[in-house]
Amino acid sequence: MGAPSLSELLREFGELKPYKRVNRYYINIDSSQLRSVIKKLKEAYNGEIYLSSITPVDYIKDGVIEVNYEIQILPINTLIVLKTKIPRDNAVIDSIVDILPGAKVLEQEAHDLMGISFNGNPYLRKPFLLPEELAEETPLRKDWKPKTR
Amino acid sequence: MSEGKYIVEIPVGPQHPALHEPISLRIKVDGEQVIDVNVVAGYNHRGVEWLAERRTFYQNIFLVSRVCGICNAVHGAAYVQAVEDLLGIEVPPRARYLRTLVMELERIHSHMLILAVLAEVLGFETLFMLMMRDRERIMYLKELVTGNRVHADYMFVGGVRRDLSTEKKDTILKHLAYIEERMKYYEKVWSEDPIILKRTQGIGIATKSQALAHSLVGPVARGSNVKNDVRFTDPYDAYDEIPFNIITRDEGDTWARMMVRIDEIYESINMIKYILEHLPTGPIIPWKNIKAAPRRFPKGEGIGRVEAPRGELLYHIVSDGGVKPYRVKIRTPSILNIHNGVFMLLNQYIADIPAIFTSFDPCISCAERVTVIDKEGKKKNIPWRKLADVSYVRKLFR
Repeated sequence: MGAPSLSELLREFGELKPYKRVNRYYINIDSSQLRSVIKKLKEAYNGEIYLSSITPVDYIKDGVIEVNYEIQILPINTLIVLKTKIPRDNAVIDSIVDILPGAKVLEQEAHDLMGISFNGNPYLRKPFLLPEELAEETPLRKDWKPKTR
Repeated sequence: MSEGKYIVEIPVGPQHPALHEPISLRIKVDGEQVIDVNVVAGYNHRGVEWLAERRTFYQNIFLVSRVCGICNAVHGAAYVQAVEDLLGIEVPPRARYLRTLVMELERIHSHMLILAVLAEVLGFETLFMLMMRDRERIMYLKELVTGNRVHADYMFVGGVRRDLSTEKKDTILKHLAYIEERMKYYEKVWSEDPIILKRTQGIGIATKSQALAHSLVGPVARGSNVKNDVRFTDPYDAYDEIPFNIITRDEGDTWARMMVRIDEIYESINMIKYILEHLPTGPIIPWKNIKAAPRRFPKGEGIGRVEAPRGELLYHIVSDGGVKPYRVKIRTPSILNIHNGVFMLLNQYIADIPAIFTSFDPCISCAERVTVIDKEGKKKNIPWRKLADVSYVRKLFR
């Protein structure tokens, strides 16, 4: 077991690339394949994976939002970051809350602050963390500005 | 009301009976049993991620420490780890050991705090006061090492901001010996007192597969026998050189989570003793002078992960090559444990809610970090008199 088997496992989705630190990898995948990648990881490691974080990054110049899924694989002590890109003006991605229920709050947070819609997450609501008056707004997008005097 | 059942919604909080922080649990009960929980958060949103995009990499070290008061050193450590990952800096051995020392001191006082708070929730107010009294010694040690009692501000990119003189070692060991002795007594109370056992054992259970699927972290996961500890799974600083055990328990209930914390305090004490004995000599930053720290940051990304007292803390930094980070994502352990852990409250009794919820060691200020900005952008200073005018009590007497 280890990194080679992991790259073998995910070969059909893309190339596994290492970070500087040991046992950390990332892979660029298509947003439509996200669910099948996570299902495959969950099956391969008997469910001993957990979703550590969802990090959306707004690349306003390219017109995309990159959604990073940091997943820790416990049996091989490895962190894998799944990178997907979705268009900025139509920020919709499939929810993984039915595969990993831990995604619930992370998707809620990303929905609230970055305005990403997760297809199939029944818990999404706005505002979730923001105050009522910012219910329509998405502060972590790069074009958001606080109203000034 | 549905099909003959009388279902009542009870708001627990935002003035929570267990925590001195604002969060609201909207609990639906059928008789005494909880059938649904809805967490209402957002009372404490301060916009740290947004602010971090507008400050330089070095200013952010001090900003992220303010995310949480109790675990501020680990926030700093996770952030500088991410920046070092971005820059590719090697941290000198002495600095790595000193960072570990401060983070373990923080773990001891954080675990003692939540043990004390749960004791208070269960009605053991004397135990609460005794534990808080002893915890003060750890706060003193933290001040001795870092210069500050609460906000350590100890971490710096590449190393730490203060060295430790040899004279301080004896003081640290003296106080640790006292804490170890006291912890033996507290462990006895926690594992033998019949009221504590009745109020914590067998309630709020999470199985191993539930803990994994719901992304629970820290002592909450380890109480359900999930061997998840970043110190072991992704060693940082000096953790790959210091011997320690991962504490796990099988029970998965409220009591197990507290016992994990008690055992972790002993582990931390042993680790600090090991650190003081094996502290390497040498510089505490990789440069001659702190002014030589890099001013240019490459394009790329860095991930910092540490095991905070409450669980895995993750920082994901994206840089576009400027002096400010392009994106700083902070994923604190509490947001997972609070929002995903509420399934443990289902089918429990109302009276057990504070005990179960406190055993998550919830930290609201960690979980919520986005700022509240007035829509008109006006700064508001509300005098006390005006505040009193809108208050409920004033209306009663009008």
